Amino acid sequence: MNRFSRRAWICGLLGLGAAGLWPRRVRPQGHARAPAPLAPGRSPFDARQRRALAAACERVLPGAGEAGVPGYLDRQLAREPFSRFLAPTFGRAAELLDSQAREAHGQVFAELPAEAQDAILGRFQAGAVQAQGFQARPFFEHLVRFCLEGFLGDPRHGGNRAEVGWRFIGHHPCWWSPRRIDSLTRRGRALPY
Amino acid sequence: MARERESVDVVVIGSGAGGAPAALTLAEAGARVLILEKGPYYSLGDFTHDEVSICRRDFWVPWEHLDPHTIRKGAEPEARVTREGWVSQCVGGGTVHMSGFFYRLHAEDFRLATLTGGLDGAELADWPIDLAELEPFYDLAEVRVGVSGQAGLNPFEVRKRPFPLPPLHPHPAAALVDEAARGLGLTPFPTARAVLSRSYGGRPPCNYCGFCGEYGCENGSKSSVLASLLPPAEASGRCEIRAGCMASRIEVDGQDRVQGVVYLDAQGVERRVQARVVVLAASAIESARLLLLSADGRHPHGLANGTGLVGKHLTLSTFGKGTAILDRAQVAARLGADHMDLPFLQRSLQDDYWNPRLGAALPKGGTHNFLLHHPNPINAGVRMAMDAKWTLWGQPLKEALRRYFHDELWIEFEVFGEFLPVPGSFVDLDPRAKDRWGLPAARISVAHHPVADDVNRLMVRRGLDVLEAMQPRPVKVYPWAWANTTYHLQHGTCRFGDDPGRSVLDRDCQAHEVRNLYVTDASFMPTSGGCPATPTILANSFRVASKIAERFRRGEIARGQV
Repeated sequence: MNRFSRRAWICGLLGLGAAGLWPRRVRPQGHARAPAPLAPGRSPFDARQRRALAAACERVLPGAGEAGVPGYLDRQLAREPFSRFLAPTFGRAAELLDSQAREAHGQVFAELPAEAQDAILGRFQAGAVQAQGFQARPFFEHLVRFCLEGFLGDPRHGGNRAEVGWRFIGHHPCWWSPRRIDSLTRRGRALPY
Repeated sequence: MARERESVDVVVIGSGAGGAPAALTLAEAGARVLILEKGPYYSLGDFTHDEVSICRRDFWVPWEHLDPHTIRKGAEPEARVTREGWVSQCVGGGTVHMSGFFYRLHAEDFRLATLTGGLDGAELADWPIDLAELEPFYDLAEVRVGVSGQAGLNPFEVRKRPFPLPPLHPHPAAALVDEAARGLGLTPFPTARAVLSRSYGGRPPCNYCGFCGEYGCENGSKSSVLASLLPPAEASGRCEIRAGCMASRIEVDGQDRVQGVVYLDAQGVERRVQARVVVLAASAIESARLLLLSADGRHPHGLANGTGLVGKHLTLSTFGKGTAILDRAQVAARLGADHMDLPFLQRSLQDDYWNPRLGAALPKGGTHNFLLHHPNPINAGVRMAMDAKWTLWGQPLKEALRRYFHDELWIEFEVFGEFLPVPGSFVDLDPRAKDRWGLPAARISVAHHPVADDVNRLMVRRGLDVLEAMQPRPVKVYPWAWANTTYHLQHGTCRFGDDPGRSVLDRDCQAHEVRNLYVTDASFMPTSGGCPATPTILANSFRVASKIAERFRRGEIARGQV
C-alpha cells in the first residue's frame, strides 16, 4: 500500500473509531479542496500592488508562485484581523517596492531582474527602507512568515498548490506516523532500556 | 438581564486540568455539576494537522483585540496588550493542546522556605501539605487520565506505584542522549507522558504521528481531560458542560457564603446560576482576575481579598532551550536506519532538581526535557529564519528547509525551573484594556529573581554539555533561550496556607474568607516547582474534590433545593 492510500484507510478507521467514542458530531478528516479565488473587490490590494507582492514572494521563497503563495497572501490579508492590522502595511510595502525599483532602475519591482529585486528586498530586511508610518523590518518578517505558510500550509487555505511544498520537504502532515510502527506495537519488541 | 432561578449543587468555572477532576469527582459523588467554559467545545473531528489554523491563528486563544491581557516586564513603565498569559480557551483547557510531559513534584518543592532558610528578594513559603498527602492523588490522576511511563528509573522521584501504562517507544537517538548524559555522571530517565501507549478506557493507543504539543489529538490518545475525564463526567448524567459561557462575577450572601455565579452566555446575555459550591479553575491569571472582578460594596478589593493577596505571588516557570543539529545519515550509520521516523525522544534529567553542587545561590533547579524538534514545517522554517535574524530567505531558506527535512536531525532540550516569587510579579486589573464583554483585562507584571536566572543559565549549560557529548558529534550545538520565561505555566496568585493573614486559600483550597468557594487551578501553589504543573493541578483537584464530596456526605453542605 502506498503512503496515501494507507492514509485514507487509517483516516477512515479513525472516523469510525471516533464516532463510537465521541457522542458529538465528527467532521470528516482530511483536506478540503482549495478555496475559490477572491471575488473582485474583495482583495485588499489593487492589481499593481498584487503584482509587486507576488514578485517579492517569489524571491523570498522561490517556487512561491507555483505553490499559489500570492493568492494565499491575498486571501489571508482580506480576512479579520489581518485586513485591519496588516493589509495596510502590505499595501504600503507594495508601493514602496515599486517606488524603490523606479528610483534605482526606472521600472516597477516586478519587472526587475532577480538580483535587483533581491537587493531591494535586502533593504527591507535590514530595515533600511524609511517611510512615514512604515516599518520595513516587521513587514519583511511577516512576508517571510506568510510565504512559509503559503508554501507549507494546508492546501485548504489556497497555498501549497497540489501539495508542492509537502512534496518538496517529503512529509505529509495528515499522516506522519512512522511507517513501521506496526512492528513495534504488535510484536512487543524489547525496549532499549 | 435574564432573571433565572437555575440552581445546581456545584458550579465549576473552567473545564481544564483544575476544573475537570473536581467536576468528575463531585458528579460521581452525586452532586449536580455545571461547568462554565468560556471557549468552544471541540470534538475529535476538529483536530486536524492544519498548522495554519491550529497553531498560528486563534484556535486556542482569541486575538488580543478581542480578549487582551496586558503585560509589563521588569522595569517597563507601561503595560502593553499581549496574547501572552493565556493557557487556552476551549473545553478541556490547556490539556487539549499540551505535549503531556508528566512530572510529579518532589518533596523539596513543599518546603522551599524551610530548606533554603529564605532567600533575599524572594517571597518563599512552605506548602501546608506535603508530598505524602498529594501522592495518592497523583496515582489517582495517572490512572484516571492514562499516563505512560517506566517507574523506578528516575531516582529523584518519589512513587510507590507503577504507571498505568508502559512507556511510549522512543526514537533510537534516545540512546545517544542516554550515553552522553551517563558519561557526564547524570541519570537520564524515560519521560512519562499523558499519551496512551496501549488501548485504555475505550481510547485507542497513540499512532505516533507526533502532533501532540500545540495540537488536539484526533485519535483521542492524548490524555487531555477532554478525552479522559469529561466524557465520564457527562455520562454520569449529573454534569453539564456549557461552552461559550464567560463567568463575570461570583456572588456571596451576607454571611460570606458563596451563592452563585453570574455569566455571559454564548449570545452575550447575562445569566445567573445559584450554587452551593463554586469551584474556580480558570487559570492562575484568570481566576485572580475573576475574584478581583467580583468586588462589591462589602468586598471593595475583590472577593477573598481582605488581605490584598489575590493576584500576588504570581509565579511562572523559568525556561531555557538548546539545540543540537545532527547529521541524520551519521546517526543512522551508528544506530541503524530502523524507526528513525519515530517522533518522541522521551528523555529527561532531574539531576539539577535539588542540587547543592549546582553552583548557584539556590540549590533548586528543575527539569531538562530532551525532545526532537516539533514536526511543524512552517514553524521549522520560521525558526530557521528567525535564528538567522531574518537574513535567511530566498534559495538559501529553501535549501535550509530541504536539509532540515532530509539530512538533519534536531535534538533539543527544554529547561523548566523554579520561578521565584518576587514582589514585582503579580496580576491586577488593567485600568484601560477591556475584553469583548467590556470587562477589565488582567494586567500581568513580571519580574525575574536574578538567582532563578542564574540557575537557569547553569541548567542550560548542563543541557548543552549533554548535547555536545553525543556521538556522532552534532554538526552544531547552540543555546536558543536562557533566563527566559514560559507564560503557559502560571501559578501562585491565590496561595494556600494555614495562616489566613498570609494566604488566600486554606489547605483544602477553600477561600479563607468565602465559605464554599474553592480554587483548583495552579493558583494555590505557593511555589512553582521545577517542572510543568499539569499533573499536580490534576492531583490537587482530585484531592480538593474528595474533601468537598466528604463535606456533602457529612451534610455540611446541603444539597437539593436552594
